[in-house]
Amino acid sequence: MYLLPILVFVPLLVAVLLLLAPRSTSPNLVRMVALVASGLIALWSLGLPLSGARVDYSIPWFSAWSWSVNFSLVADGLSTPLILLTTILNFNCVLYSVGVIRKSEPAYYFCLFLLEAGIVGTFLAGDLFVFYVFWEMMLIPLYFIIGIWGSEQRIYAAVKFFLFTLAGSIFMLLAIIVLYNQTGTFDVAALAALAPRLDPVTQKWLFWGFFVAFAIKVPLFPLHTWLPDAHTQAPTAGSIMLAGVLLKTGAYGILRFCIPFFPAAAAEAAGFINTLAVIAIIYGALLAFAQKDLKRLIAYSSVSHMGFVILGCFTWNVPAISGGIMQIINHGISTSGLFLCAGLIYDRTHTRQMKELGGLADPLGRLTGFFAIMMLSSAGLPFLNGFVGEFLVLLGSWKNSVWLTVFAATGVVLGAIYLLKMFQAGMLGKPAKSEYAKLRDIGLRESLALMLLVIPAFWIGIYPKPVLSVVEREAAKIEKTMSTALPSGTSMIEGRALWAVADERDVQD
Amino acid sequence: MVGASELWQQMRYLMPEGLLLCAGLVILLFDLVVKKGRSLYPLAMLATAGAAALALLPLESSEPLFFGMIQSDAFARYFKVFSALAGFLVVLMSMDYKPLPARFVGEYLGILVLALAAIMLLAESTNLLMIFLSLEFLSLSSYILVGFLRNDKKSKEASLKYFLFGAMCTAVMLYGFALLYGASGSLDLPAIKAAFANRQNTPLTCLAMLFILAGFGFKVAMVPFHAWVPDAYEGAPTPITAFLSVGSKAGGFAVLLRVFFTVFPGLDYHPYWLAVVGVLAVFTMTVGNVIACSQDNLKRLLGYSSIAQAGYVLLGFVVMDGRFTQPAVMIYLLAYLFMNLGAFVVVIVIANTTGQEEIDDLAGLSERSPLLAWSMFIFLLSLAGVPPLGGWIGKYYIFATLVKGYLEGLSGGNLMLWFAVALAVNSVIAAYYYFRIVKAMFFEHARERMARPVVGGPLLTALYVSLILTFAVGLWPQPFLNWVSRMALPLL
Amino acid sequence: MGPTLDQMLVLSAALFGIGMIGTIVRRSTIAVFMSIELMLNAANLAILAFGRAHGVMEGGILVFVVMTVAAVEVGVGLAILVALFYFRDSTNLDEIDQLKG
Repeated sequence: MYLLPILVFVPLLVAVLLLLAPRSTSPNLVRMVALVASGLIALWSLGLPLSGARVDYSIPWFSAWSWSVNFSLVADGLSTPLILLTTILNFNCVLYSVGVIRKSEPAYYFCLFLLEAGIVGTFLAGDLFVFYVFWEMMLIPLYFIIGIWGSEQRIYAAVKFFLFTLAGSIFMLLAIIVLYNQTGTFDVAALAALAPRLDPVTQKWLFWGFFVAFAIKVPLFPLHTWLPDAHTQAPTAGSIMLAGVLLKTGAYGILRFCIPFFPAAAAEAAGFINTLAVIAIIYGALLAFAQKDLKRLIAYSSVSHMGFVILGCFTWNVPAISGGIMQIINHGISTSGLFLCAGLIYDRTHTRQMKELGGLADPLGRLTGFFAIMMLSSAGLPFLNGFVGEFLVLLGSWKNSVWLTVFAATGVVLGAIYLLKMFQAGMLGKPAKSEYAKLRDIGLRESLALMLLVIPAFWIGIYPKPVLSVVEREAAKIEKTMSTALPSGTSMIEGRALWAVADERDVQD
Repeated sequence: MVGASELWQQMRYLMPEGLLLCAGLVILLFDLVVKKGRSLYPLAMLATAGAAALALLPLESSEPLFFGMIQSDAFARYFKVFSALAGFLVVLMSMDYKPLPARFVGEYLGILVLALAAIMLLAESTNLLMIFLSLEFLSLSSYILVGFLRNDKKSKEASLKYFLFGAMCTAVMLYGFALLYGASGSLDLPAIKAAFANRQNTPLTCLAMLFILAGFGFKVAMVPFHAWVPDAYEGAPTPITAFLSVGSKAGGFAVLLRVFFTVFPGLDYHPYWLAVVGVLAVFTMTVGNVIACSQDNLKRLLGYSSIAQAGYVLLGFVVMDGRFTQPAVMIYLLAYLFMNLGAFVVVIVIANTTGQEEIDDLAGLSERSPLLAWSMFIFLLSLAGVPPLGGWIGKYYIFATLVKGYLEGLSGGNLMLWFAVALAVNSVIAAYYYFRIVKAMFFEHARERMARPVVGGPLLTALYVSLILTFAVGLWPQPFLNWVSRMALPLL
Repeated sequence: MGPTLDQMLVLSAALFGIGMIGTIVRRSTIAVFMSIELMLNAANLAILAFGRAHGVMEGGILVFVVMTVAAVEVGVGLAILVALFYFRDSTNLDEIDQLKG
């Protein structure tokens, strides 16, 4: 019963404890507390998949003048994998950070735990109001993480990140309030039944109100410009959390709210959004090519990879949607791994410029191995996790629109090329500086952090069934909503944009 | 006719303001005898705390008192508690405010306490005469308080500008009263309402409404009657700036609520009202927010921010539906009381340390004093309306009120949705400048020889009270919401 | 027979307008004070005229109160002006420019 509240409130409690710790607390103690707490939370979250398909918890929060809010938390097949990802990545971040961060540590771990609480809460919220509270709550710690512990341009990046996301979410708030007034409830499950019955015009407005907020977080082209700055300037742990789970909150919001609540509007917008997604895939890949900065390259690869998520989510068949969800998880694993490797490299060489790197394979053997695995998983090599998601998305998308699929597939090819190029420039070849020969390879702690990502990467790549079966159940639910919400008999064709229908005819001819 | 004994009976409803008036006079008298003004602080604290306690007693009367001059209903009681609480915190803040000349502390406290009584009277007046009197009472004491720093040219100048602007707005408002009197034949609000029952809106009433809005708009810092705000805020002693931004603004909103909810619902004037107040509110918040972005002085910045906040609250008035407007406005003001006073506490500490109040003086505050930096951060977040803090609950209800007005098909409903969008856009602009302060506190480093701020007992108390209540209104809003809905004006 | 309601209202409106323009246009603080007094008295005139038209007396009380308050207001205003004059040697509003507003 208290499984879920503990997941949200323990990180919060740890965060507050760390903040209130007296100044004289030894840094070792702070690190120890952070490490143990984060590990225990990660272990605790393993209880979620073990305790059934759906867990929920709800108490009334406040009510006045016909507005009532319940503090309700729900974990189901969609949120459970993402929560596991969050808690494990948080442990990962702490594991990495205890060796690196030396500047105002209590405040740093305060931010990390507050971020964890915010993100877990966002994934768990079973009430829109509660969702919004957590959604805003996770902005603050990341703003600090970027702004205080980031690199040279950190302040600009932090402010840009904050204003972008705030601008999106404030309109979502407006949409939430309108939705409440139309349906009389904030409860997500109840809304999933009620909201699709709203009139089409209202649905459309509300859909976009939600979608823009989520699209900024994902981020979808052309709302992505905050991401490269935030990623490049953030400290490694910030990048990991940002790429690993923060972007996922946007995709999660789309799957949880946008599509089930407003299926008609979603169907109408799908053509446009899918086009944007494919543009994002190609645009992100092309820009990734042009980058000289290691982290910036990975950031643009995120734009490209998250395009697949959107493409999957807005293609209404089970393979595509489950591929989209798989891609959410996989991108979380691979990209965090890449950022972690980039961080470890930076700690040793103090540069992120690829032309100043090179030849690191020799001194940094173990790190190079992990980096290679993460790079290949991100590139979508079979038997690694990245492949499963992208393959399913392309498979599903093929049934929907051949052209979009073809363009999206070029994104996969481009992805493989720029990632290999990155690896080659960074790790292989001649060392750019002679002192690189003396670099210290990663130790046990850092290897452990990377192992935590490599194991799931292989597991999902080789034996995806346990995860995939959960994901497919969720995808089937969404697919069912879409097919029942649309005019019966015509399946999905009628609901799509006209040019997509024309496309289909070309194929049939 | 009401007998003397009955009047004496009615006095019991005026206990809080009675206590404050007596305390104010006693303080002024003592000041003549006692040369050390600081010894009067406990008296002022006792008086404000006592007034708050008395105002919390459930003494209400739905009958008009004192020949219809006053109605001491739940609504008035709410603002009495509000004003006494604000007064208590302002007195605490004044104790450690260094620039205040010790010789004149007695006069300062006496006038401050009297001004608090004026706010209470303002909130319960039901007669134009009484409204005029208490409004002037409040204004005149405020003019003096703003100019209280004897050797500070800025303070004097602020006071003069505030006075000239205020006197002009009062005159305009009085003309509005005259027109209202002409249109209805009475000064008594219920009688005016009866005269207006189911009457068409005439140019005369429209003009009266506009003119009256000038007087009240001046108090709440509504554009275009806001010009005094930045100067008066910058020049005034900081505790008084805090008082103006919270106490006198709340008084303005109280009388605005009462007059516009008792007098005008009889008229068929909604679209007109919507256009005028809605557009003014949008201008108010936009002007406040946009200009605040370029301010470097903390007091000026908070001044413009308080203009913007007044705009948010005014948007609640647009709907003019008693069920939603009143509680939304009242809960917003409550949250605003704590978050804004809290921010000013930090400004006072900074000014005590560095001698000025620029954003630069906050640089690296998180290293010099984490407590102050984090508290200021919480207050700014709350002002920006980030959940789960008090300001967010307030902003949420303003939003909800607008949406409700839109969906219930009130005339001009579409406009309301646009107002809500304007509020959303403004929230983002506001976040920008609030976060400029956060940036200075957390991301920048302290200049050399910047002393570590020392927070004394009274300021620390004020800080903790504001902090706890800012959190409480956001995290556990139920008791506050219940209280506010109990205290709203009866629906008509 | 005195003047009609309309005549008195026109006079009052004219006085109010003159006062209003005066407060905006005149740069001498003393002149602005006088203009504000003019506005207050214009309002008083209107109140009295309306009172007579309606045949009710309450307005007269308000006028007395306004007159008293106006006197107090001038007292406070002049005190502030004197305090400022102590620093400045001028009552010209254009020269009072320590604050940006």
